[in-house]
Amino acid sequence: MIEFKNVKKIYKNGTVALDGINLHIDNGEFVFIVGSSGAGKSTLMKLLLREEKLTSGNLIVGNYDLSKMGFGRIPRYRRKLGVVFQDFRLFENKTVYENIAFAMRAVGENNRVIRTRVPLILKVVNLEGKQNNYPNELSGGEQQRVALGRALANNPDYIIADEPTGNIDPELSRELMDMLVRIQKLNKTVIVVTHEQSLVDLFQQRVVTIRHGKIVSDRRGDMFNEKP
Amino acid sequence: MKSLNPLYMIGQAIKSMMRNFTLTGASVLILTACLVLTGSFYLLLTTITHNVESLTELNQIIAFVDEDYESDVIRVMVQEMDNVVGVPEIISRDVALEGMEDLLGPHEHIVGNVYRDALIITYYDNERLETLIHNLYSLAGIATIRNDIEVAEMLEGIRAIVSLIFISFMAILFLVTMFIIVTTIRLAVQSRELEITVMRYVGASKAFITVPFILEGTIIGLLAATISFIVQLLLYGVVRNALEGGIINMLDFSAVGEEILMGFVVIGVLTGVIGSCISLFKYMKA
Repeated sequence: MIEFKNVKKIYKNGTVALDGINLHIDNGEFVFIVGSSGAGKSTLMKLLLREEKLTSGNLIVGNYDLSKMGFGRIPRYRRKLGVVFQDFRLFENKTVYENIAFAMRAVGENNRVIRTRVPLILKVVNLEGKQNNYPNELSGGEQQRVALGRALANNPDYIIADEPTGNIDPELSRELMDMLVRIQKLNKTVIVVTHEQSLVDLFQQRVVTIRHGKIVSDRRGDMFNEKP
Repeated sequence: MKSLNPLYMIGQAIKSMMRNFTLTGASVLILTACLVLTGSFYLLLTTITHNVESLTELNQIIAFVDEDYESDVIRVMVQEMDNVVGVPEIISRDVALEGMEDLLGPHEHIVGNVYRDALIITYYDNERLETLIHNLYSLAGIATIRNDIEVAEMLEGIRAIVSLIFISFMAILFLVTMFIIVTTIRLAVQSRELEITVMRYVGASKAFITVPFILEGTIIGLLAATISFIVQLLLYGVVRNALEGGIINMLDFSAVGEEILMGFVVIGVLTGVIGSCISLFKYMKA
């Protein structure tokens, strides 16, 4: 469960990025966060990733109260998250297998667990047989699936994707979104930050729209056929 | 929290060093140069201290007897003075001449013997040496006195100056070395920026992210310490051989080797670790 309670974020230069956000996301939900550039989507992401600390209010993610959490607990909290970036952020000098294994090794997982788990993840993201390829030998969609595989490596409860389809063509975007929906079915909470309205319309999931740091609409998936 | 795999950490540190081979090499060399300079100053100080101690421990002064007086008579008077131990030994002017001829060759261009009889006076209290010298000068028949304490005091003065230079040098060298190591580690950090970002997002502990860099600094420090010790050993041997038989009494390297090695390791490792921590400051926070 993710709970934003009257969350405000004001940067040091006085910019009000989020202005009293209230948002509740249940476990296993799929949520699109949409909004134009500068609306506050990135700040919301940064708060969720605990890159930034909120100015006031409360933000609770699972058992973690991010408004009170100290630096020491951040690594453990982040293990509950799987993050997918627009620019993939893959290691060009590592194979697909090594890219995914890296995330597990970084949290101290042993080789036996890595050897068992990576093939399973490759299966989930449809990259079986590509484990020895390097990122530059893959298409954009495949690279993003590697990034998704890496996000899943440590079995997180929450998948946070920041413009995951921004660098891939529409066909592959749809494929990736299908995959995210399948991952949601594994009882993961999926949050996708995007500005691609067509994709949002196509998948008919819950959509939270942010404008000028405020939530201006929160439409559930089952409301898509209703008039806004 | 799962435990860190030390072999993996060391492997990452070595990989990073190989990736930035040139700068790592430069760091090791500069740190080595700094350590050898520091070690040389330390050895100079040790040598001066050793010589000062030798001079003061002798507790002897030499009084030269005026040609118009009999050394035996003077000796009797000196022997009765306060602070004098035993009977002063007389070195006759003939013996002195022979000694100098043995050392420097025959004085053919000098006619006659220009030396004076000398009394080697042993005393027991350094604190009352000045009084003894004053009493000797007030005694008719004592022409001059050679006092090693004065030489020792002069050496003490030199030691104070060398110490001051040593400390100033140490501070400057430390800053220079720190700058180089900080630059090296910062470049290593930059070359692994993406890895660090990913590690942070997947929840790697601070230790997992920073330990390889701190190890890298430590390895640079240890390498520099080892090379410096070998260079210092060879350098000291060369200087000792060159000064052998002279007035400067140099210690055997084994007497100071352990201190030098420990000092190098401590300075090298500390510099490496502090340099790494400065470079990693922002990653230590979150």
